[in-house]
Amino acid sequence: MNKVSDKYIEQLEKAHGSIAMTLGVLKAVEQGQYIPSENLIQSAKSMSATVHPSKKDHIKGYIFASGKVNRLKNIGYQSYTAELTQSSLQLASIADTQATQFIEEGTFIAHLARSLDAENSPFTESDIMHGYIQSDQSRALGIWDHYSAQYAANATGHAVTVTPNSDPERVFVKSELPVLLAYQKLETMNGKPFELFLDYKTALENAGYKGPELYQIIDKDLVQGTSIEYMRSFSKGFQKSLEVPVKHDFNKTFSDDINVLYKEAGNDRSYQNTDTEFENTITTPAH
Amino acid sequence: MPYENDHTEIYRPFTIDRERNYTLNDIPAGPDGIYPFILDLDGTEIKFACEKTILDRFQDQDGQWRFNIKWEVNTINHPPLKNVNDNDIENHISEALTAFGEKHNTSRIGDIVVKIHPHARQNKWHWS
Repeated sequence: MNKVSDKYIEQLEKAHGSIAMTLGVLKAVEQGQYIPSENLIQSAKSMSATVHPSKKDHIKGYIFASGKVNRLKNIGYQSYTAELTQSSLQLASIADTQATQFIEEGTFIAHLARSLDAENSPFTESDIMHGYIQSDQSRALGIWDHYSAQYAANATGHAVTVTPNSDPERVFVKSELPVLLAYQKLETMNGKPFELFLDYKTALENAGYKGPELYQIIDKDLVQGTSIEYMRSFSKGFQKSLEVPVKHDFNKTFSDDINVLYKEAGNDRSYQNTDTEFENTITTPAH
Repeated sequence: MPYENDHTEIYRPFTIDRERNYTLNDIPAGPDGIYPFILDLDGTEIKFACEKTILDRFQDQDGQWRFNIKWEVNTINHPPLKNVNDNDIENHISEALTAFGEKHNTSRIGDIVVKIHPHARQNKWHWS
């Protein structure tokens, strides 16, 4: 297997961000030749992970998902994200981006596998796409993390997360939640005013939490519970899939109206009653 | 007819003809890392989606990196099959995935383990 001539690499760089041009270059590479994986990865990262403009004008929010709905039965979130996208809620998902279209077309992955093979890389194409577990047990980020962060950075309006058991090492907690909280473009998340999540982040930061741990706590304490609460209301099948008792009974602390998603977020201030409780439950991390 | 594929080397679909006639059609994996496939086994369509775990990565005696892979089937959907149990289906899927790996990544695939999750038949198939 031989490396392609510099001409192909130059063409790939010129095709920056264009699916058609990039695929044109990839499909012109002859059998027995490969493009260095580093160039391929840079090319993939140049694809847009924002929702296509033609769809963006017609949506009211964005879907995020992670982990299993039921770990024991291995029930994933996919049927529920599909249900959300087909609902009248007018939500977009990362599948509505050019980046996803580029990856799912298949040519890129085939070339990446060929390159990693030619380079005798210790990584597989799955490692490059989804990340891999490092010696310290943390996950190195993959191309999907790059796309997901960009998708989150451009999310506005109302977010719905299917994250009842989100994995702290996977894309949502590591790459999407930090960006959503940094960009502050959302009005609601899981039917709750987004300020609730921002306030909790501030409270945790004031208590000394930072880095990955900060987002893991926000996810575990707030996002998972509100996701369960919202999705139970949205889909009859969700509670059945969830099966286990709900870990967070937010009805005790928040408004009973869990269909707040498309109400004016500013009119619902019931969450303010919980601020003191948040402060009281925060302990200084033992570092 | 060892393999059929188009000239772009896109992963899907391809046919192998060993003892059985298989056609494996892969549906591209999205960000969730779930890999859906449709396996045509002697005319019976088996739809399955699985998670890929690299059990072991090692260098062989020539210094080439190789990977032992576990595919856990978490969703499977197919018409009734006579005289075929889960172990048989796991073996068919394993053979098809091995051929799939050999086609696309000849030197890098080591052992493949396929396990159907006990709840896989109750989980919904929703890929096209």
